[in-house]
Amino acid sequence: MNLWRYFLGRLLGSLLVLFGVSILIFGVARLIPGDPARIALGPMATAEQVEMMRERLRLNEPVVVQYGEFVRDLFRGDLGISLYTKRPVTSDILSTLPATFELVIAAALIMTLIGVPLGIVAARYRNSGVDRAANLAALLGVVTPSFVWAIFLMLVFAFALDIFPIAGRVSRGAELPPTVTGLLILDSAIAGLWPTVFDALRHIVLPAFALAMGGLGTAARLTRANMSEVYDRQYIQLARAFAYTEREIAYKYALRPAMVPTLTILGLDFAIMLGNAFLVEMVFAWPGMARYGVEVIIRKDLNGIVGTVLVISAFFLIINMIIDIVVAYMNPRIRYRDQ
Amino acid sequence: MNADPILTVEDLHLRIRQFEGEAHILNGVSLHLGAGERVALVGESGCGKSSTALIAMGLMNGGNMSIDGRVTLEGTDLLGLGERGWRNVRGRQISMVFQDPGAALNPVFTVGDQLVTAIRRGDPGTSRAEAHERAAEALRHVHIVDAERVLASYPFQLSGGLNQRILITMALVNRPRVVVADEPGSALDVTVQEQTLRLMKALTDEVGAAVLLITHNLGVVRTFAQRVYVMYSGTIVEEAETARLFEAPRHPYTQALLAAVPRLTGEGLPQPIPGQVPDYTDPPVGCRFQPRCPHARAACGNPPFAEPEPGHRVRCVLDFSG
Repeated sequence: MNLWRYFLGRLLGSLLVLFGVSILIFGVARLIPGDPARIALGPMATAEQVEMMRERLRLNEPVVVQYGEFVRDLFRGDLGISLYTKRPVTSDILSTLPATFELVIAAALIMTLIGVPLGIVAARYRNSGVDRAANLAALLGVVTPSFVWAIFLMLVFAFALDIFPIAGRVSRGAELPPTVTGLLILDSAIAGLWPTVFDALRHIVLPAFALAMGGLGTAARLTRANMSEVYDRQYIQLARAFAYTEREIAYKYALRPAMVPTLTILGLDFAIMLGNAFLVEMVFAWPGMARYGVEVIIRKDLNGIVGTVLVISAFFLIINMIIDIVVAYMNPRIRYRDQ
Repeated sequence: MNADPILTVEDLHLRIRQFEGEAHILNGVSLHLGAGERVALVGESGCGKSSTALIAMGLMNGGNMSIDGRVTLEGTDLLGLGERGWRNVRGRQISMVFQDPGAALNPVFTVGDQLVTAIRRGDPGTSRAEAHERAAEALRHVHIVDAERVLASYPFQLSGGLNQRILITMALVNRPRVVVADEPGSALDVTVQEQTLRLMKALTDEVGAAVLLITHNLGVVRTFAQRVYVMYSGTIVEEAETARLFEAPRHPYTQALLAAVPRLTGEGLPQPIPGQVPDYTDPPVGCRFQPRCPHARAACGNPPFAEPEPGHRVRCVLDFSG
C-alpha cells in the first residue's frame, strides 16, 4: 500500500512549513518595538547590565546569525532561556503543555463523538424535529465564544448545581501518579490510581465541553450537510435498491464518503482549540500553557514567544498530518492518486 | 402471451408539491410485464419514465410526494410495503440496473464489498466467504477474467464499461423475477451501450427475469424489447409489440420519436420534435401532446386509451393506421 509514501510526502511538507513558521516567528519577535533586555531587567537596571543581557541573548549579532544559532540549539532541544521565568523555555513548555494537550484532546473527543453522530441523525431524519433541534443546538454552539460557554457552564454546573468541581485539574490531596506521558488521566490509569482518574475526569468535563462547543456545532452541521449531499447520490439509491438497511447506509455507506470533507475541517477545528484553550484555561484556572503564553507575549520574552508558537505550530501540523492520513485511508482516490 | 403478469402498474399517479404549485408528474400510468418478458418504456427526458421505475422499486418517497394507484409484484402490493417489507423484495424479487456506472457505485468501497453486500442482503443466509465466491463466479460469468482483481478494486480504478457490467451482475446475481433497467449504458459510448444491452438480454434470459427497459432511444428498443410502451408527459400514449410499433406507429408522438432516430440508410436527417415536455404544474388540458402535435385539431379533447387492433393500443382520436 502506498499509504507510507503518502505519509512521507506529508511529513516532508510539514517540516517545510515548520521551517517557514520558525523564520517568520523568529523575525516577527525581533521586529516588535521595545528592548527585550530592558523589559526583562526592569527600569532600575543600569545600561551596562542591559548591555550584558543583550550580549547574553546574542541580540547584538545580525539576525541571520541569531537565527542560525537558534536552529542549532533547537536541534539539541534547547529553545533558550525564558526572560520571564529565567528557566529554559523547553522545560517551561514541557511542564505546562501536557495539561493543555489533555484538555484539547478531551474537547476534540467530545466534538467528534457528539457532533458527528448528531449530524448523522439530523441527516438521516432530514427536516424532522430532530433535525431542527440539532441545527439550533449546533448554531448555538458555533455563535457563542468558548469563554462564554466556560463561564456559563461553570455558573450552572459547578456553582448552582454543584455537580462538577469549579476549577483546577485535580482535587487537592489527590494521589498523583509518576509522570509518563504528562497526561494526568492517562498516567493515573497507567499507575492504577482509579480515584485520581475519576477525580481528574470530573475536573476536565466542564472546560472540555466549553472548549468543544464551537467545534461540536461545526462538526454536526458539516456532517449533516455532507451526509445530505451523499444521500442524494445514486449509489445510496443503489444501496436501497439492493436492500441494504437504513442503519448500515447511514453509518457506513453514506458516512464514509461524507466524512472525507468533514474530517479536514474537524482537523482545523482541533487546531483552533489550541488557541481557544488559552481563554478557557484562564476561566477554569487550568494549569496549561495559557498563563505562560500570555505572560511571555506581554513581557516580550523573545525565546518564550518563539518556543510557544513553534510548539503550537508543530502540534497543528501533526494533527493535520494525522487527519490527512485518516482521510487518505477513507478516500481511496487519494491513496491511489499516483497510479 | 399474456399469462399472469408478474409486475403490474395500475392507474399510477404521482403528485409533487413544489413551490410553484402541485406538479402532476404521473397521470394514470398502467403497464404490466409478463414473466420473462422484455418490455421497453420509451419517452423523452422528463416524461415520467424514471419516476415510474423508481416507484416500482420503492425509491420514490419524498415528504412532498403523494403516490396513488397500485403496483403489484407476483400479487404483492408494493406500495403498501414498509421498510422491512421492501427489504424482502428488493434485490431478490425485483432489482435495478442503474444508468450511470460512474455514479451508481460507492466511490470509497471496493467493488467486492458492494457486490458481496448486495448478495448477502438478497440472500441473508450467505456467509461473507460464500458471497465472495459467488461474486467472483458471477463476474467470470460476464467475461471478466481477473475477477479477484476487479473485486479488490475501487470503481474509479475500472472502466465505465466494466463498472456497467458489474452493475448488471449485481442486479442479476440473486436471480430476481423482474429487473428494472434505467437507460443502462447511456452514459457510455454507443458500442459499449450495445454490448451492455446484449449482455442484459443474455443474462435475463438465463435467469428467466422480466425486464422493464427505460430509454429515450427507440433505436435500442428494436432489438431488445418484445413489447413497447410509449410514454408522454406522465401517461402511456401507445402500446404495441415492437415489430408492430415500428411498422405502423399510431400516435403522432411515437411517429415523431421514430423520425428522431438517426438512420444509416435512406435519405433525410433525423427530425427533432419541436417544443418540449409541458410544465407539470400547469399541463395542457386533455391530450398533453396537443401543443406540439402537427395534427392537433379542435376534436382532440381527452382521448381514451383505445385498442384499434388486438394488443395495439393508442391514446389519440385520430386514426393513422395503414
